[in-house]
Amino acid sequence: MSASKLLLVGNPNSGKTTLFNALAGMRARTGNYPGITVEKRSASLEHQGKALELIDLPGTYSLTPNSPDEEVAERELRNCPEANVLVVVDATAISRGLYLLTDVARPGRKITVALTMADEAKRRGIEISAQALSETLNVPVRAVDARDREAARALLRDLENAAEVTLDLDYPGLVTKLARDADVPESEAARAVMGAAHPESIEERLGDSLAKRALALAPEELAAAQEAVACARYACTEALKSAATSAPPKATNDTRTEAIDRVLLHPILGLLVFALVMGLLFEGLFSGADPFIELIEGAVGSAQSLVRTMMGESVLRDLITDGVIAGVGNVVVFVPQIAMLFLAIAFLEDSGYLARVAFLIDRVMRGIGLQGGAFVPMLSGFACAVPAVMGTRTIASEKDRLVTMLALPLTSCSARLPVYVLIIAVVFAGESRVLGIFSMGAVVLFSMYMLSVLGALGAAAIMRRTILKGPTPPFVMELPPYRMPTLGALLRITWSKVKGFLIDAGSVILALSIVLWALLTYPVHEESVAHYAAQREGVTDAAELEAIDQAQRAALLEHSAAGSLGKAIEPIIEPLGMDWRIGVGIVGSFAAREVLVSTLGIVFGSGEADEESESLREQLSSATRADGSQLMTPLSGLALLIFFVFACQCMSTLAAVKRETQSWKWPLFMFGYMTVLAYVSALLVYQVGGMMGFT
Amino acid sequence: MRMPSSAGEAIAWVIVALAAIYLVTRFTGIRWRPKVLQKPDVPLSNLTKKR
Amino acid sequence: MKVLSDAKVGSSAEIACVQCSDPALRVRLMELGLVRGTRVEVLRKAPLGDPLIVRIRGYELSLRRIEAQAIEVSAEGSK
Repeated sequence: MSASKLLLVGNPNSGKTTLFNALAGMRARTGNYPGITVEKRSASLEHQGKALELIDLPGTYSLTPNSPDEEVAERELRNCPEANVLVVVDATAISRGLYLLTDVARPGRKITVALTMADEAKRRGIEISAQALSETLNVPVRAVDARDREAARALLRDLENAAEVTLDLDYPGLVTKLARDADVPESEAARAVMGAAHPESIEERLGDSLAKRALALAPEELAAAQEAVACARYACTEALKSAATSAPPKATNDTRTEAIDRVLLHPILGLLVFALVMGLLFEGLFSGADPFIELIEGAVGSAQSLVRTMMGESVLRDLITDGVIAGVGNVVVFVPQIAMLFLAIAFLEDSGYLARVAFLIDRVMRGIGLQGGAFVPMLSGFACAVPAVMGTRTIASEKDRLVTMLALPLTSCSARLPVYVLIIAVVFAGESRVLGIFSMGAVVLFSMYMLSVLGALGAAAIMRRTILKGPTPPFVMELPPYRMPTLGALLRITWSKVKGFLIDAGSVILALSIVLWALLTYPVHEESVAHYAAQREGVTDAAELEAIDQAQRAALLEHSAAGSLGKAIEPIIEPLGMDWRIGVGIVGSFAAREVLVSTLGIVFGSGEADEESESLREQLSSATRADGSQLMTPLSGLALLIFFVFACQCMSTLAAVKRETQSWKWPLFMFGYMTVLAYVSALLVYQVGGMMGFT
Repeated sequence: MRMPSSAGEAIAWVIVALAAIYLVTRFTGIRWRPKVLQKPDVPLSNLTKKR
Repeated sequence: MKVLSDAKVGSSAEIACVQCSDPALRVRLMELGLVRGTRVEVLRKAPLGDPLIVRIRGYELSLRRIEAQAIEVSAEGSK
């Protein structure tokens, strides 16, 4: 026998998920609904010896869906006509919560009700009697503190008495007639009238015959009927509310939220706080994660040395250290920033401030065709695109979300910084100061960041008006009361995001790292091996041996698949002022941008190098092309910098976009447009600059 | 193509091949085990798609 | 007839009619409780004058000007 189901249904911010967590405890499972990035939370419980499948449906205001989340809630309810439904109603917004109840109710549907936030309602002077509400509705109604596990368990005991709700709904004549003609209950006919506002999906949801009848109504008739249905349902919920409230309340405004908003949404103070909060968030992502990232990089380094001392020199050892361990490192290194961003987003969201952020910045974001909700992911992109791409889930409109996701990798993430630092040090170190104050390097670095901002905003604006154009989605958003988030909830969200990243995107990143290692290693050039082996004969000086080793690594890399690839693309990148050695660096940096530095270290024979390495800087400065001209000039350096500002040199970002969009189409498109943008920009700079006489 | 020179190198080749196969399957969506049939009577793609 | 976007901050009014050209948005607004006869209070506007926040049925809702323009109101009065 299959388990009976209990569906949790409620408005967003109603405490539904808190309640789910209290009920599910450690048995909660999170995943995605197939084919779409709506999170599915469920848990298998045992209640009175019987299996019970608990499912937390996405928050919704009604069963007329306006977003993928709400579509899931509606579809699950429709697909499980037998399931018990626990309607979670926020006592502070009881009319709206009960409105959903009037929509969920249908003949045969067994319902129980949980009344959350009762303490908050009481503080505001709203006293609702669960008992009275239960008597009117004729189903169990229980006021619970959603965080209290014992109280939550009591809700399961209510299931025995679950029943159809009794509602006094005065639907308009048109609904009654529609119900009679189509031979369906009135509640279903009312849903059809509302659902006719979405003609594209009504047939799938409500069936042919009813959908045709609803769509056949004259527009004015339909509009009037829709208003009458909404009015009838709200009249019913207001009557329920009055019957359940003892004394007519005086003022029930949320004075605490109002007081906080007087500061946080103040035209001047509010913007200051906004700048401060966003600054702190950015600082945390940018430098707060650094110690953890260093720790991980240190651990990866130790693990590599350990394996190197334990195993003799062999290809397998190189694969383990430079492929597998480095690949695992490539995955784990993102965890600190992902965890921090989601801890911050969860805190902002659960406290109620994230909605205010969207409210404050909406007008500005609309300028580029996006909405307020796109701001936090865009900002996070400056730290790292991977968590930022995952953070776009807070954007309700699918098109806005996609545009944000596709444009934000243009913001200059922290992995580009080592590349900027190295190239600027090589080509701009000796330049004179600008206006006598700023060093040329600082001006160039600042310009790269500005360029990335312009690029990201411009790309978003263009995509929103071309390939992803469409009507501006409405910005109708509830501003929930300020509430103190619980640490448990924040950690749970953070962990589920980290886990999802490690499993889904991490496996792709690890596999790519291994394949990339093979490209940089194979085929092995046997003649070079023999050549340098001969050179080593009789040499005992350690420094000399080291020099031969470096020369051998450079030669082997030159003849590897990546080296051949670098040479193959040389004719393509030559007009940008680059040669095949930079080409190998570009191929290698696909693993992660900062890998450009260490790959260049090998190609230019400087051994292990970072962006501060003097030997690599000297090698780069003195490197010449085949014709003897200098390779790295201010102009070719600038072209390379601009290439890295725009290019999508990051497999992890592509893996994250693949995971979020559930298809390879968008990551491939992103890779394509960013590479073309990078190439054309670098080409223009190098060629036009050259024509104007710059070197 | 030369043969692997040692057992270690042979293992390395197998690991690289597995990684490459994994990427190809993820990329193309091919599965060697049939996916557990999960719903839906109403495919969601139809709901989001405008006519 | 007056529309909600013209109402002053701090004033309240009664909804007369929701007249959106987009039927989906119209139904959504009504389902959020913006139906004929409902009291609505304009709480504040964003620093750039748009969007705005209204209170309705005990909770706060943010709307853009363009959406508020479609909501006809009557019987305006100061708090």
